[in-house]
Amino acid sequence: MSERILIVDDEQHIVRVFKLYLERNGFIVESVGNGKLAMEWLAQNEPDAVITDIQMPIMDGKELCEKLEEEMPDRKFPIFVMTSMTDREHRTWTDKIKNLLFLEKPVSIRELSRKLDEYFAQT
Amino acid sequence: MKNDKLGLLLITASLVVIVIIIGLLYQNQAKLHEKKIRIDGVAITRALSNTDFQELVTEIHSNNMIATMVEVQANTDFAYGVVVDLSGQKLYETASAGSIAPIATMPSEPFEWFGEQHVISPGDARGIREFFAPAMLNGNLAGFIRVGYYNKPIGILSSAVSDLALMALPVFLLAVLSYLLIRREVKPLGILSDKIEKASLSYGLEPASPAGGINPGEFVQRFDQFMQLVQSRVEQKGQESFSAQTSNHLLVYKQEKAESALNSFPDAVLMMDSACIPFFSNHKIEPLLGVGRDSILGQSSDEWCQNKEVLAFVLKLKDPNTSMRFSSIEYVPEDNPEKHISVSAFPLISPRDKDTLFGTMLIFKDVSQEHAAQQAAAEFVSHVSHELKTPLNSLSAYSELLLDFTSMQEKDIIESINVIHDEAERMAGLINNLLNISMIESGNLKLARKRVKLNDMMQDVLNTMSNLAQTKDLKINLNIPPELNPLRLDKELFRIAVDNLVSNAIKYSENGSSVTIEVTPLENEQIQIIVRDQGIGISEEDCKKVFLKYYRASNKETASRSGHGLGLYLAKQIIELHHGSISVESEIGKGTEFTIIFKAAPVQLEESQA
Repeated sequence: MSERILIVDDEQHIVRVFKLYLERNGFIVESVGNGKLAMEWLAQNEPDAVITDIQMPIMDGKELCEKLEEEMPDRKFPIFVMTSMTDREHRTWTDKIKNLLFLEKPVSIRELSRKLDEYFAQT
Repeated sequence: MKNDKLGLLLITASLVVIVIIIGLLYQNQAKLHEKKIRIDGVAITRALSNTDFQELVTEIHSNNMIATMVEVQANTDFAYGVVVDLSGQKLYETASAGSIAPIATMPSEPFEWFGEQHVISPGDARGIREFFAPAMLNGNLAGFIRVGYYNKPIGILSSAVSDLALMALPVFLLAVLSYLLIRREVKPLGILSDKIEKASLSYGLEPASPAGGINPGEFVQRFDQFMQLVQSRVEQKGQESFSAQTSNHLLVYKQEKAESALNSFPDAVLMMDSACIPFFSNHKIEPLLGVGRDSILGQSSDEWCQNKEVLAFVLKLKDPNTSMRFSSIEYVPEDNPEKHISVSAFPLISPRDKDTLFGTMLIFKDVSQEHAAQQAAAEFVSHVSHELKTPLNSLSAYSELLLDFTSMQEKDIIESINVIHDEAERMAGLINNLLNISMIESGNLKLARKRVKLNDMMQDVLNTMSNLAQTKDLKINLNIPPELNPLRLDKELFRIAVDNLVSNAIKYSENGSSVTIEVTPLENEQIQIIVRDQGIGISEEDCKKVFLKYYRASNKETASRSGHGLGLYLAKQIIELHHGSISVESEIGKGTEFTIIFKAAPVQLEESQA
């Protein structure tokens, strides 16, 4: 059974390349342009993982994570957060979020694919 | 000792004077006495010589002429009055008490009948001066009249004693007074002499002769020497005092110079001694500490220092281990959280001796701007790294895709390569912006004006931006008069400014709206370019700051869009380099309008051919 992955990013070519790469590795990839759309999608669907950017219009990645934590406390899927903010200060909010993993920009898509494989192999 | 001798001398001299005076007085009295006796004696004998003989010898006292005359004369020295006959027999005699007329041989020759002689009183052997004259009877010599007076009067001295005493007393008193006065005058002179001697010795003058006693000549000489010495000393002192005054003036001048330097120092200066008690501060300390200088100087640190952090810092300086080194802190005043103030402590070490510490110099500096700049720079680095990492993210992902999956559809391959190309350009654009800004700020960028056709340039901008516009389904309108004269601009820089405005307009526009670029020639050869969008808009407050370096509006809409706070800043710098101006008008939710107005520099002949 192939896993469903939701990519949340407003940068179209990032979404495209992730889709192209991950689909070729056997994942089912869905995408939305911001946090609000992600929440709407998640209300209807249950993914196996969420990959999100932080800077997005309307609802950013931070708000999305906080909302998920609040509204879906029982969620099982991990959230991969793509961030270029390497210093601790900008990450303090992430401490409250369960099952959150960082993807340091520039994200190696090979690395991401491997991490997903490992994650799903464990569960 | 010298004084006592002088006194003795004076007293002796005064006594001698008294004796001489008394002697002279006595002599004078004796002469007067002798003269009186002679007058009395001659007068009485001549008078009696002419008297009738009977009246001379009558025993009836009251009728006797001699007795009457003697009584009339009343000479105290009268001894006797006698009438004798030619044989020397006394015919009549009157005498003072205890006096007896001695027997005497009378002259026989007529020219000797009148005269005087000295006889001795037979009773007490006193000398008597006797006057005699012939006593005539019927024209013939019948005898002699002899009248004697004592030579030396007994009372001559005693009678003058009171006068003498009266005369001698003032002389004597004067002598004593003079002595006392002189003694009084001489005493300080003696002390003076001793002092002069000591002073002279201490000034290096040869010592006076060891023999004591007042030697006026020597004293005068010594005094003269001393005065010369004193004069030379006074001159020397005068010169010394002049040079001291000069050096004092110089010191005051130097101090004033140092103080004026510290007063004109751009930061607040406070100097403290090693007990942390301020002894100098310049005027700028007052607004920073919020305390008057009067309440600072000479006060202990807990009185002038209100801020706990600064107080703790200052108190540490009491420890010599701390105060010998440079140290500094930065604090935020409790009453003004916007401010940042740095306090640096510099040890005031003696230039002669490295171990001697005069105290500490504190420099208070308002570093709010530096702090803001630092913060802005830190934010800038964070933004720039984010801005660089975003295209890098795409580059990395697409190159991995191309590397790992060789058997892709041609369409996907071409798109991937296009993305890689675009993102590389985006990075290059950002790097160029940074480089241009650093060149403009360092003043190294000079305009390279060339002949530019604005129509072509704006069309290029439109073409470049069309891809970006398409992703948001935006429509870009360009309104430009078809035949604008060529301008002289730095083409590359000017293009950056316009690109930044247009890309901002696209970035902050909502999907499906439109962006308009309007170029209008104005009067006085000025050109106006307006870039208008229907995007999120900028608040009135942010409008004032959008051209500041690193400034980005602090709202979620802006934060959600990538940006580095450099585009508008750079655009403004470039337009100003072209002697133009840039302004903004906006309304939240309605859109924004940027206006550039610049003077169209005339194209030179050789350029218009190019």
